[in-house]
Amino acid sequence: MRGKQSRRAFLVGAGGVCVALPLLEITQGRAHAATPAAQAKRFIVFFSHGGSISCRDRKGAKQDGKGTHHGQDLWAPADPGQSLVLGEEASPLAALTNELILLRGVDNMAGTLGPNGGSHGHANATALTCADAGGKVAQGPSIDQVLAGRLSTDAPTAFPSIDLQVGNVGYGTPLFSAAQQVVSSETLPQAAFDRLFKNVNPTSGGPDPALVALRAQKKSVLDGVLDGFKLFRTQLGSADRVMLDAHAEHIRSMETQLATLGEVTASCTLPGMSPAPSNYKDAEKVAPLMVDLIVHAMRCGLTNVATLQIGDLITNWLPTPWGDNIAHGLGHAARDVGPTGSKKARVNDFFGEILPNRQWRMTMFARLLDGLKNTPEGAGNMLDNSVVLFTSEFSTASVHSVRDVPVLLAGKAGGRWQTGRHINYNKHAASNPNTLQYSTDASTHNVYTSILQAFGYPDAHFGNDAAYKKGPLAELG
Amino acid sequence: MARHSYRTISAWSSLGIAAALAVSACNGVISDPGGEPGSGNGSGPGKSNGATPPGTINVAATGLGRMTPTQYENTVRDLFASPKLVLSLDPDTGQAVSRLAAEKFNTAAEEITASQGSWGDPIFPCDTSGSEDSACVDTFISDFGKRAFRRPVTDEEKAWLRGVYDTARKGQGFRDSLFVVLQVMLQSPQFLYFLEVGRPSNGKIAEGVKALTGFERATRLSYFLWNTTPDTELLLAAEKGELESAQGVKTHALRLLADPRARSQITKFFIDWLELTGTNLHGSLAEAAKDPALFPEDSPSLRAAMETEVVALVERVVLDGDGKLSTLLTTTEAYVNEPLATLYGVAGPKGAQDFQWLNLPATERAGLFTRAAFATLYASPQVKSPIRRGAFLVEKALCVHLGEPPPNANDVPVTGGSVVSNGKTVDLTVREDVEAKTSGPGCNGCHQVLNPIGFAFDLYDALGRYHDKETGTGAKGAFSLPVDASGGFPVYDEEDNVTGKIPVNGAVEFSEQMSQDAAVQRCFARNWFEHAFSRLPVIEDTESMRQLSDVMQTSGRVDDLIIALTVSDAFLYVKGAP
Repeated sequence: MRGKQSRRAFLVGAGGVCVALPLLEITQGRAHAATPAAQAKRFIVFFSHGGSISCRDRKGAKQDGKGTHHGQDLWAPADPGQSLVLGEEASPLAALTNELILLRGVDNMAGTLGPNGGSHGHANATALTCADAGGKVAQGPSIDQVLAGRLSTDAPTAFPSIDLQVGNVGYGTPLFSAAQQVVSSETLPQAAFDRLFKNVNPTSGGPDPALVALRAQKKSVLDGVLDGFKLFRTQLGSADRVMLDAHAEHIRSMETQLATLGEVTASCTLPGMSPAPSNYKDAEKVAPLMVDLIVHAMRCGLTNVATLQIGDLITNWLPTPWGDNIAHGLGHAARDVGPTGSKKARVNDFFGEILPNRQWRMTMFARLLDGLKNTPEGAGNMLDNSVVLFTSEFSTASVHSVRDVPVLLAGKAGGRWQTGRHINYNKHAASNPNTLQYSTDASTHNVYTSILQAFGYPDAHFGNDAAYKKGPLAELG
Repeated sequence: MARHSYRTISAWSSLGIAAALAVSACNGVISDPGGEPGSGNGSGPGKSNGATPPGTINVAATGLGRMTPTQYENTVRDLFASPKLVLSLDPDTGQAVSRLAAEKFNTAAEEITASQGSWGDPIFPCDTSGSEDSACVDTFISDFGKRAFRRPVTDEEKAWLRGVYDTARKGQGFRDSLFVVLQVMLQSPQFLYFLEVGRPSNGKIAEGVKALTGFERATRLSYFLWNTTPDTELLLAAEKGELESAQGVKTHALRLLADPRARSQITKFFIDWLELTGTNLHGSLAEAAKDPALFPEDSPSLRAAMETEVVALVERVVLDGDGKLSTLLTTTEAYVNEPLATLYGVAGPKGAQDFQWLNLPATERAGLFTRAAFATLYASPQVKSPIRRGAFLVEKALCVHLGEPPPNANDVPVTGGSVVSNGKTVDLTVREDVEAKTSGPGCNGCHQVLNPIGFAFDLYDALGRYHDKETGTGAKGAFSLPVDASGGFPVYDEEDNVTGKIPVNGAVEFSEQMSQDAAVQRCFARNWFEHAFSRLPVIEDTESMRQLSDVMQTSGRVDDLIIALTVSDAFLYVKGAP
């Protein structure tokens, strides 16, 4: 059972530091809930590096398609109304439309503080942290790791979070466990499988005596390691201690998770891994297996938080005719294939490469959502009790725009959210759906505050002070 | 990884010393100061607090280092005499160990225990299947602990590890309890981190600086030259005090350098220098995409032959020849099989299996940077890339930091061919196309330096074939345009402004110029410094860098440089971070 008392009384940072909250904030947080019981159980981030097929400039205005930029917005919904009709890029998700909430007009305001109003490293470092950042390094934890820390403290699971990655993310990572502490992700499905499922035996019934012994042995090792950390720490300066303490915290967390070793839920089954690719760059084979790993890990109760990054770099997605194996180059080409651009003759090549790539990513996202939806839970299914976030570090990567970044939410957050909606925060869109102008007061800060509240946490704000305003989005109450 | 290097606006810049202020070397054009290089994971510049009076021993304060996954694997292979042991570790490069990395160290310790059958050395000094032997536990902790921690185990540590054993023993047998101690050691910070405390030392020495202990020096030497833990002989030398003196360190450095393990580390340095195995920003030589219609002879086997050639050339010149960087940059000797000989346009052995040494035409090829590996990697799928070749050489051979390209920069390959100019369709060479696209005010600052370097390599196409004409089919039909490989070797002043260019025609002349250039020699020394210490040199390292640059200018030998590194102040001394 989840510890309701500790949840209400404390904010637990990703590093496990507890901070008592004033009572007023607690009651306000509760008051937001539609019903006291309605709250999300699981959080998954699907992070698609390299932005959407869109045409925002660095201030958010759309390019008109008459200049060097292609001026297309394939991420926009097909209908401007509040009832969601997905656009061309997201079309593989059409069957899941009623599970989705598409937010438009959300800026990564922390990202705008980067060089030239946005750069690859800075946009990545801020995309999920909403924190200050120096270069590629964030000065605060990302939303997934905050939730991982809190949910696994409330109710230990085998893993606080499961972090997987398809391809390279050489231009930066969005995942941070704390200030300056990068989260590593598994890149090979087989290695991830071995790590996640090595002690999982869905056919075993009751407590296994061998597991009880294994648990004791593992605990004595981790206890011993921690004693070694204590001795070692006394010899270090303060800066080194911070880094060593982060390492010790991981050991401590592994120890906490031991309590759940070998426990399986009724819905637990093992994902098929055959054939598992040996080259992590083999994206088309790696990605579906990574998705399946997350779905099965959730079914087996191994974690309540997962991240899957689809890298944008050095993939084999670009053979001919575009002929550059660095997808980054393709992304930037968006601003040269317009009618007056230097690569205007290649506009069809451009869309012929990038649209299938982005739609393929959407089929992977659909696979994830289907997997959750097809897992019964309570009166509904696992997706109903989840918050799944699809996002990216950029809207329009070709100009490094962090305005109107893709924010596509899936799941009903435990019945708290109404899905099948399109919410556009661009103030110009109400009077003219086709407007090129842009003005908003919504930031990812507000989205993540809403997400924290959807999990029953009473946070009044997430991230730094770069947001237009503090607090959650009213539409995600 | 700190890929980029900084140069500074100071008198130290001629030594390639870093400071906090990044100034672009693009002829006075200041790059974006909010740029990202060096601020990412891993080694940034050491902390600098000013220059030191000459003759005073000084070194930059550095943080705690830790084992790389490769070092971990090499180390446990040596500790257990189990050369085939393969572990799955997280290649994380952040300052703090990630959760995944910590878990994988934990799993690795379990896997090592489970692999006992393949251990070549007895780790436990008694029969662990027999009855409990308390003295054996203590001997194991002392003896294996010394090898694992690379120094004698302290009394406190003995008490800690004995306590681990005693606690485990309450619930487990003799053998399993020993395994618990072993697993604890293999993921303990004492094993994973390279703590350097130092010892007080006399002499003219800057505040806070200490000499490293003999054991700490043994660890540095071994991981620098062998990328693994010190062998018994080196630990014994440390114990006997032989590494207290620079001369003693040199004696053992020479012993380590003569071992095959040092050879493979040196060739790896060159592979890494050329980035042949890829970086965050580009794929490996094997992965570089090429258009099969334009390069029908290309194959995975040909790419492998290109890399074989580089390794063989390094071994022949650096390890078995005169050892000089200048020779590596100018030799026409090549180790080729038939496909590679054909690519170079020379008669060679038959088939892909047989390699032999021969000489390439001296008018077409010189050393390392005129070979197929470099030309192929720094090119797009269809055409050569003077920009990427130039940028590589500026940053990695001249140690000049270019900074981030402006946000409107374009990394779509510049291909030449037909363009419409003033209403007329004209065919351009790659060079002409590059010049047209990079002559604008936002681009010219850097490109006026890096283009003339890259253009000198224009006689090599995207697969490293020599060509003096660029041919293709444009809007008006087939074209054939002469290649212009005239370029310029940049000359920088003390403040990193380009003061001029030495004209060169083609990469052979460019390589000749490189082989004589003091900036290239200093940069090469600096690359080795970064390799040895996983950090950038800063002002406190001025004297160390000066010694290394002197070696390059007087001897020019790579082995002399390596030995000089091992007796430099930066290697022998330490300053703890606050």
